[in-house]
Parts: sequence; structure tokens; C-alpha cells
Amino acid sequence: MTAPRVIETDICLIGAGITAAMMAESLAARTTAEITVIEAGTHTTSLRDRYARRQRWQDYGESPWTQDHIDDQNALGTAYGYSPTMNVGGLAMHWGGVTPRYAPEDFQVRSLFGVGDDWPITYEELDPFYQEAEERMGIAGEQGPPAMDPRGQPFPLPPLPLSDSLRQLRGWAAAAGVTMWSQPSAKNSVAHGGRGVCQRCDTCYPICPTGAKYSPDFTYDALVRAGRIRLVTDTLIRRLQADARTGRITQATGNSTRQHAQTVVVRAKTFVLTGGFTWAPHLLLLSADAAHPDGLANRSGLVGKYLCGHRNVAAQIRLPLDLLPGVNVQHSLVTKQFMRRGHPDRYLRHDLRVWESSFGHGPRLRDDSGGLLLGDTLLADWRRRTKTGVARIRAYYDVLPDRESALTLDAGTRNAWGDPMPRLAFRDAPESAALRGWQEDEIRALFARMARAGNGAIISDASAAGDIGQEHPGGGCRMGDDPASSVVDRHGRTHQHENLWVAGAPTHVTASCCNGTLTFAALGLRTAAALATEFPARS
Amino acid sequence: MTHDRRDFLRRSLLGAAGAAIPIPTEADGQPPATPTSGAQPPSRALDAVMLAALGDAILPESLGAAGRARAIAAFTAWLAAYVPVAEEMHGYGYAELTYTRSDPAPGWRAQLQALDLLARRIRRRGFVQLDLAGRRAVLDAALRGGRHGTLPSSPLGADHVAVALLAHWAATSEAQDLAYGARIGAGQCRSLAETARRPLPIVGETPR
Repeated sequence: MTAPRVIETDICLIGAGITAAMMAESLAARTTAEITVIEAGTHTTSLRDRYARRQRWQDYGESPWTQDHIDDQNALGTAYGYSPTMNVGGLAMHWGGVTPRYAPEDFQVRSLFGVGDDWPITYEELDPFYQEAEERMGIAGEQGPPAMDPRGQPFPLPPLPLSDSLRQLRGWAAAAGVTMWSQPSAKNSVAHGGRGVCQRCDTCYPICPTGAKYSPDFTYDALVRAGRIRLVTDTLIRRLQADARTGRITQATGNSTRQHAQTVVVRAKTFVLTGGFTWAPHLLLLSADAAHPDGLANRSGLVGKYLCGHRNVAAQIRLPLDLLPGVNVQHSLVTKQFMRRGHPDRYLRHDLRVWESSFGHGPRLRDDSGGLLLGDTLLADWRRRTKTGVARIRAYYDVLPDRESALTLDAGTRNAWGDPMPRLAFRDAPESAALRGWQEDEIRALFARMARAGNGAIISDASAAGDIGQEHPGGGCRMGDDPASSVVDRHGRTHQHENLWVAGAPTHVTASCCNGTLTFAALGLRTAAALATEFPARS
Repeated sequence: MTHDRRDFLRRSLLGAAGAAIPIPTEADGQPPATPTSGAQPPSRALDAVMLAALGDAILPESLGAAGRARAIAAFTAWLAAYVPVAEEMHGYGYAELTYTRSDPAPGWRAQLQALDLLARRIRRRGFVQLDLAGRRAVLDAALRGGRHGTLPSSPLGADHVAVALLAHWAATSEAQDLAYGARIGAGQCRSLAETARRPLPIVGETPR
């Protein structure tokens, strides 16, 4: 029997993704507390290897991220929007670096629109933490019209420049009555954070070879080098143990993922779950004991419930514009015009993004009559078809979660230690389900109006994900002021265990209608600010 | 990440296929490409003379002999460095893990042999001995009934070695620049400062 490895610390963050990276950096700056981050996975592809791994991905579709998951640690069910990624840096090692903020209305949908639930916090309360996240990552952004895009301070970095094609598309959108601007991104428009300027390699997703796109490994590496945190990898925390009388978490226990028989015990004053919308509620449910038969922090019965996200409607629009796609493939235009005011009749809020596109421009092997195209004939046909300008357009629309949009434990699928794996089942609230068809039709009608305004036509109409899951998911430990209807308070502290916190994505009440990562990080930073007051301040 | 977006990115970014290709090692965290029997890894070499004759028949004449030879060399190098059953990018949105396909070389080698046999059957001469029109007639017969109306975004999606070679060339940044008649350089790392400038036209190409 191997003796357990015992780790003692002040603050233990469980899960080394982007939320934990932001929090660890903030906590290390604010307090003298000893901070330990526990990660089930390990370090994935280092910066020096990213050019080579990117090349393999471009050439063969191989994953550029080595050792980025644990084989038997995976989710089941309607898992679209989920990723098996489990490594230092989490999913944000391969994110696209797209960083919109939510709109003020996202936090008050019940008060303003009579649907869903309000958050216990407002946009204004989160604004300073959005700013902090943007500064820590280095967000390049263009200030949109203030009425659409309110923010307390300017973006830390100048915006990524628009290509000629995106400038033409912005003009087209304006003619259609849609005000668009440069999408904020965690990509260096100027040198920042010891990292160089973006080289628009076009592979932000899945891998930036230069380090110009922010990824959390940079933060972890710097903190570890400076001795400000301890990062423990290859360690899967499988249970939290709570004192039956006080409810305080006494220790976390788990195993080495390299040597399965090696047990690990972590004793800390405070525990923070930073494993995202899947693994945070999963750990709480796994930690059921005699005093907490439904899992920890679950007096409300809402651990794992109200999983939230959004869906999209997308199209390709042919336009009489002279576009040259490929100048900066992953950069786009964005607007919050439809996130702010909503639809005048019924509930519909959505974002809108536009990209230059090469849809339908690919080379053909056969012409319209079925004749084989080879040599210069193929090239001439290809050239002829690139002369048509094409825009890709997509709107994420807000989907309100049902209580039973839930993560549960699947006893039929277990990992190496016998733990049941999470099963995800996304479900719309009845009010959202009833509106879905109308909402998607309204968005398609907007696309059609925009196409007509540019003398263009929709050439492909698509919405993604369908019912196999939702995008940019969150929830599972929703925040609220009432312990009967939430799992954590407005700062992320669980109602039931005073030294147990949940941070980032799982605390979402609803998931807005745009990419969520910046908000996950901002919420984590807000949690860190509250948590830091319980430890000695760093002078 | 949607299926649509993933395909869009793959099609947009499968550039630079002719660039230097590092062969993965165990140190990269990928399984080594050695068979379990302990035998030497199979050669992926294709018949170079047949491949050159095929390239002359399918790649644009305007590339010139040197340009076509470069495209064939890049395709050959790409094939040599292929690793079957390597883990594919899963990204977010996909819980399941997928792996690259089996080694395409044996099938493609057989297709080259079949092209030559077909040429002898319908043209009474070997494929290499045929002129351009003759080779294209043989290809027309060989590819009849194939599933490709448009080229696949990767050679790995091709149902014939001829389609694979064309797809490999078409995925390069250089080929895409030729198609647009401009120096865009998609999929290449380029100065951010140049973003706002419209890409320059390719000298000697017909303006759009």
C-alpha cells in the first residue's frame, strides 16, 4: 500500500483552465496565501513545438495538442459544446481567442423581458472584472458605439485591423442598417505580456504557433517561475470531504493519473472548483456522503441543473463585392445591436458576426455538365468562381435553460477508479422551446433583408448543433441570493459550505448569446477578489 | 465549433502543404509509426515515373514543368510523413476522439498500376507513353463514376490517387493565390501590419 501524497496549502483551486489561471494570478497579487492549483491532466504542447504541431494539423488534421485528455474521463449525452480536453490551460489552449462581453440585458432577462431568471449581479458590477480579465489576457478591441457596447474603460490593446474584405463587408452591413465593428480578441495587436504581435497565421483555432494569442499556460508558467503558486499536475481529485457538523470542507482526495494506486490528499483552508461546467458539478455529486446524500452544496437540489448555452443560425451570402478571403481568416465583424434592445414582439436576443468567406469557391473536378476538369481548365474554372464575393454570417441566440437541463452521474460508464462519468442533457425551458422556430425564422429573415440590401442572395442556410447540445455551455452551479434556488452566492461561495467556492462557467444563470470565455474569467476574478479578503493582503 | 465552421477552417487552412514536414516522434506524445510486428515500416513510395506522368496530365499546364515537379515532390513528401491512426483534433464541441485513416499508399499504388493497365487496354500503350490528350482520356475513364464533383479539402478524402494529387496541390496557399489572382498567403504567417492593405495582384495573371 503506497502512502498517500499529502499536500497542504491555503487555497486549493481544482482544475487548471483559464478561470483558474486568472484567479491564481489575481490571488497571488492580492494575498500572501499559499496557492495550489491541482490539474488532472498534464502539460500539453509547449510553445516551442507549436509551429511543428500546427504543420501536422494543417497537413493531416492531427491534433496539435499532445496528451490533452485522459482516456476514460469523458462526458456522455448531448455533449456538443463540451470537450474532453483535460490539460494545463484547459480548453483555452485551443480556443479561438474571441472575447465579447455579455450585454447588460443578459443579467436581467426576467426584469426586462419577463423570461428566464435574473442574475444576482449586474453588468455594472462585473465591468471592472471584465476590464481586469481583458488587461491580464491582453484583449485587442474596437470600442463599438457606446449605446451598444458600454464599458468603463478603453480596451487595453488597439483593435486588430480590418482587411479590405471586412471593410467592404462593414459597408454592406451598414447599408443594411447593421452597425458592425472589429471583434475583440485575445490576440496581440501590439506586443503585450512578453508575447509578440499576431502574425495572422490563420490557425488561432486550434493552435497559435507564435504565442500572440493568449493561452493560460503563459500565466501558469510565469506564476510557477516566480514561485507564486504551486501547480500539481496529473492528479485527479475524486472526492471532497465535508465535516458533518460544520459543513466545512476538510480535504480533497484523489489519485495520480500516472500511477493509479498513488492516492493524493489535499488539505486547504479554502477550496475553489475551477473545472468548468462539467467537472465542477460532477465533483460535487461524486462527493455525496451520509450527511450529504445528494452531493455537496446540493441542499437546493440544483447541482448539475440549469445547464445553459446557446444555438446559432448561420448562412453564406453571395454579394457583388470584390472580396479576397484569406487575409485574416478567423477575424470577423461583430455587433451587439440585437443583443441590446431585443425583438419588439417576443423574446429574441442574438449577436451577429460576419466573416469573409470562400464558400463555394473550392476547385471543381467536374463542370456543370459532368465533364472532367483537369490542368489549366480546372484552374480557369476555379478562377471564374472566386470572382463572386461571399460573406459568412452567424447569429448566436439566447436559449433559456430548463431546470432539468442537467448533468447527472452515469453509473454505466466509469473511469479507472470506478467513478461514474457525467451525462449531459441540455433542455430548453418551455418558454424557449416554444419560441425556437419563430426565433430562428426571424434571424433568417434578417439575413434575407441584409442579402437584399446588398443585392445579394443567400446561397447556404444552416444552423448548427441542433439538439445535440449547446454552444459555450455553462451552469450546473448557478449563482443566486436565495439558497433555495441557487448553489452559490453572488461571489461564488457555496451556500452550504463556507470554505467551498465555485468559479466561472458553472455559476452562470443564463449563457447570453455570444462566446462565454471572457465572462467565465471575469466571474472568476470577481470570486478571487472576494476570496482574497479572507487572507492576509500582499503589501 | 460547428461542423460547418470546422470544414470551413480546414478548407481555408490546408495551406503550405509543401513546406518542410517534421516526422513525429514518441517525444511529441504521438505513437510512433512502427508496425506492431516489428517489421520495417512499409515504404510509401509511389511509381515516380507514373506519378510524374499523372501530374503532367492533371496539374495546370501553366505551372510549368518545374512547378508541377514541385507539386509532385511535395505530395510525395506529404505521403512519406503520413501517420495512420494518429489522433485527430477534437476541439470543443466533440466528446468523441477520432483518428486518421489507414495508410493510403497501397491503394494509391494499385490505382497507378491500374491506370497503366487501363491505358494499355483502351489505348494500346502504357500511360506514360501517351500524349496529354491520351492520358486525360484514360483518366476520364478511370474517374468515371467517382464521387467527387469538387475536390476534397484534403488528399485523405480522395477516392483516387489523381484526385489526391490535385487536392494536395489545390490546398496550398500558392494554388489559392493563383485562383484569386492575388498574393493573399492564406494559412501562412504574415505581418499583421499588412492586414489593411488589399493583397497585391500576381504579376502576369489576368486581373480579376
